[in-house]
Amino acid sequence: MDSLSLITLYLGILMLSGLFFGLIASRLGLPRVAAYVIAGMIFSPDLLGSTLNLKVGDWAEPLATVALGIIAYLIGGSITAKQIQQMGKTVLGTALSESFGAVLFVFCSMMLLASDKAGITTFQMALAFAAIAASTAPAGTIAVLHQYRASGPVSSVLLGVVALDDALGIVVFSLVLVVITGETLSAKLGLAALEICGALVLGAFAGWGLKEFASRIHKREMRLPLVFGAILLSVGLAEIWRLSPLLTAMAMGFSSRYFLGFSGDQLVEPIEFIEELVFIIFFTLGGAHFEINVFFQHMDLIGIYFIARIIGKYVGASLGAMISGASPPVIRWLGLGLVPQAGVAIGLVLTLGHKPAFHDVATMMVNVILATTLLFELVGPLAAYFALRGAGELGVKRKRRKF
Amino acid sequence: MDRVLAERCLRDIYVVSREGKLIGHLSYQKLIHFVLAKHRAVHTRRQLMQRVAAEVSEDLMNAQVVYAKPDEEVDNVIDRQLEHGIDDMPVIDDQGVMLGVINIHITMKEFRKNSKMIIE
Repeated sequence: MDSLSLITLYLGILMLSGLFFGLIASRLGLPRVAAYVIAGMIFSPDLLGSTLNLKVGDWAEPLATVALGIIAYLIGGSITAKQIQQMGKTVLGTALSESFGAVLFVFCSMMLLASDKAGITTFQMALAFAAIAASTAPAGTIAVLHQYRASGPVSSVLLGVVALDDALGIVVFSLVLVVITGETLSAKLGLAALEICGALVLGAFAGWGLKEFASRIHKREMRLPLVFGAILLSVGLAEIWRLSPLLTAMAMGFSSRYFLGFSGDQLVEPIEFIEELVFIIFFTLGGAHFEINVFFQHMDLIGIYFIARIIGKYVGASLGAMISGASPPVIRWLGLGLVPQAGVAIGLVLTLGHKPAFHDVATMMVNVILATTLLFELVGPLAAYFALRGAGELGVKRKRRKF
Repeated sequence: MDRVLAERCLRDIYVVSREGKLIGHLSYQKLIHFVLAKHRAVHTRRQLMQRVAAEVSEDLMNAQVVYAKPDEEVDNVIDRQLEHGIDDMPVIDDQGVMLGVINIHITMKEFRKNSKMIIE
């Protein structure tokens, strides 16, 4: 079989096994993203992948870039400036503070406790992991809120913070990535300004262009190819011009909605239809990077990242809530609801792995984040439950519907 | 919501200015999603943000509204309803003031009546 046929076969196997595992996870009330990752792990080289002669290679890089571009576009397109204003200082202040808290604690913990790895300094590694630590996955927390009919000040603020967190995570990651992949300090700062400003300008221009085209397209089924093509074009241009593709896609999502005004949903809805497809491909591909010996060799990093991120989220959220004048239950319990981390984190580490500075440690970093993602997805909902119980905001538990 | 549910076949909501001019459309589906958001475990990010931050109809409406004119032929109205996948279409005058809403059920009845007349 030639390599192209193998790639096609591999993708088909990953997608269908991811779908199958995801359906089982939904039925058992477990996070679907974790199931997709596990499906990918089963077909990694250390497990069934070698038997079937299947391996993730360079061919996966453009797929991962496009998938993350789509996710970044959806994150940008989900927020409007008016919504950010309406969220209030408690939500905004807490979101910023807990993101920063996670970054700071992971960075300091890695610097203090981790050792140099082959191919990378502790400083670079600590910054890289810290950059990934900011994002939070909303699905697990929302599932708990829904299952227990939770309501109250902690629930309200929690919803707002998890809604913003992915966007903040991408911004933080893009900023840090420029710093850790640049050369001299002045080059880093200069590059940072260029990459980030350039990405925002390109994204805004692409968003305006998308709005101009969309105004002339009336058939709904034509909007998906329009938006999808625009995402590919803008992410491709960003890569060629060495701008941040994630910020570009996010800026495009935000600006297209801004320019189209109250009709902006039209440019986001078509892509939402394919979001689950993107997740399945993306997270099974991520899981397929799994290597057993790498996992066991770096359990120290897994432990440090896992614990430091939870502490950072909790302390950051508490401080942010306190400074913004939130009530005592919010200050005390909010941070525990921010533990889950999944999709965006895996995407960010896959992006990092494609940078030359991280090429030698890509496998290690991907495996650490895969392991911690599974841990966060399992522990996260439990932590959210305890937070809401502690705050006294749990209602009557819903019966899970049987299929 | 109670007013919408009390209507027999009209389901979507149209947002008008104080002068009665049509400025936006709020689909039944979107309204249901918003009202029931806290009872549903699954949200897109956009729905999550709307759940957290939407306060007035302007935050949910679509300003690009597909409409019909009072003197427009039924064939054209049905064609546009099907093309855009909508059941309800507002009818506006030349100043943009909303005159009423026409449901696809009614346009289909009219279309069939016209078709029978042509055959006869």
